[in-house]
Parts: sequence; structure tokens; C-alpha cells
Amino acid sequence: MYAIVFAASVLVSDALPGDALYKLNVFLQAPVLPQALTGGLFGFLMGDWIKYLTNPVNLIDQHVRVAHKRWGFLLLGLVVLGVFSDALDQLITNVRTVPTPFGAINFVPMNSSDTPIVKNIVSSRGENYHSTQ
Amino acid sequence: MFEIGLLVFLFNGIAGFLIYLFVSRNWTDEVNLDLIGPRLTKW
Repeated sequence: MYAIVFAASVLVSDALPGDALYKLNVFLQAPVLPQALTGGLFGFLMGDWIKYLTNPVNLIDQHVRVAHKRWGFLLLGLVVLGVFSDALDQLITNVRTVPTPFGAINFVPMNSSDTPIVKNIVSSRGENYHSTQ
Repeated sequence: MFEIGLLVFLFNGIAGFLIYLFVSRNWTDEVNLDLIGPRLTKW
């Protein structure tokens, strides 16, 4: 799939080799797992969804029609999740703590360099981990 | 990045749709029940 998209992008853009390699690296390094999962699930469920539309006999029952509409809203939600997953990911990572009555839920990793405990950690080779100068 | 995500969503959507078409075929017509039917009814 990446190869098809890459070949199509090269053909369309008439790119130089360096530009093509840059685009290949961008494609390979892009975090597209959420889009891939939501896209595949959306296509699979949409196949079942439009099967009801092709045969009107399936939608005679009122309850089935209501359920079909509900599944349509779920499909819309999947599209929104897939398209805006990058923005949603940034939104979620900006939330660092969520306070609760029992204590705060912390999303920052414990071994993060922001944590003061591991700031002056000394490696096994004896040199200061953060001394870059 | 955003366009790559859209392309991946589109391609995987088409792939998922094709997978659904393949899975939801009428498989029973292709199976010769005269051959494996008696063995299945044993169970």
C-alpha cells in the first residue's frame, strides 16, 4: 500500500530522486496506525451498512431502521476519529494530569526527563547523563 | 502528515470493504455437502 501511494505521488509530482526519497521517508515515518485501524474498521462496517440499503426488505422493521441509523452515526464517528486523530492525539497528550477525589492520574512517564528525580542520573560508565558540553 | 493520514484512511477503508465483500460471500454454495455432510452430521 505504501509502495502504491509512493509511486502515485512520484508520478503525479514529477519529483526529483532526492525529493522522492524525502517523500518516501515521510511516508515511512508517518504515524498512521490510528488512521489505518479506523479506516479498515470503517470500510468493513460500511460494507455491512450499505448491504441493508441495497435490499429495502431489511429496513421494513422500525427497530432495524433505528439500529441502522445508530450504526450510521457510529460510522460517522469513525470517520471523524480517523480524520482528526492527529489533532485529537495532540489534545490528549497536552492533558498531563487528571485530578480525581482519590488522587491525580498522571500521564507523564515516570522516566521522563522533566521528572527531577532522574535529572541528574549517572550512567554506568560514570559520566553525567545530561552533561552535553 | 494530514494528507498521508487521509490517504491511509481511504486505502484501508477500501481494503476493509473488500475484506467484508470476501467474508460475506455465500460460502455454503461452494461446499459440496454430499461429500462432507455425512461427516459433519456425525458430530
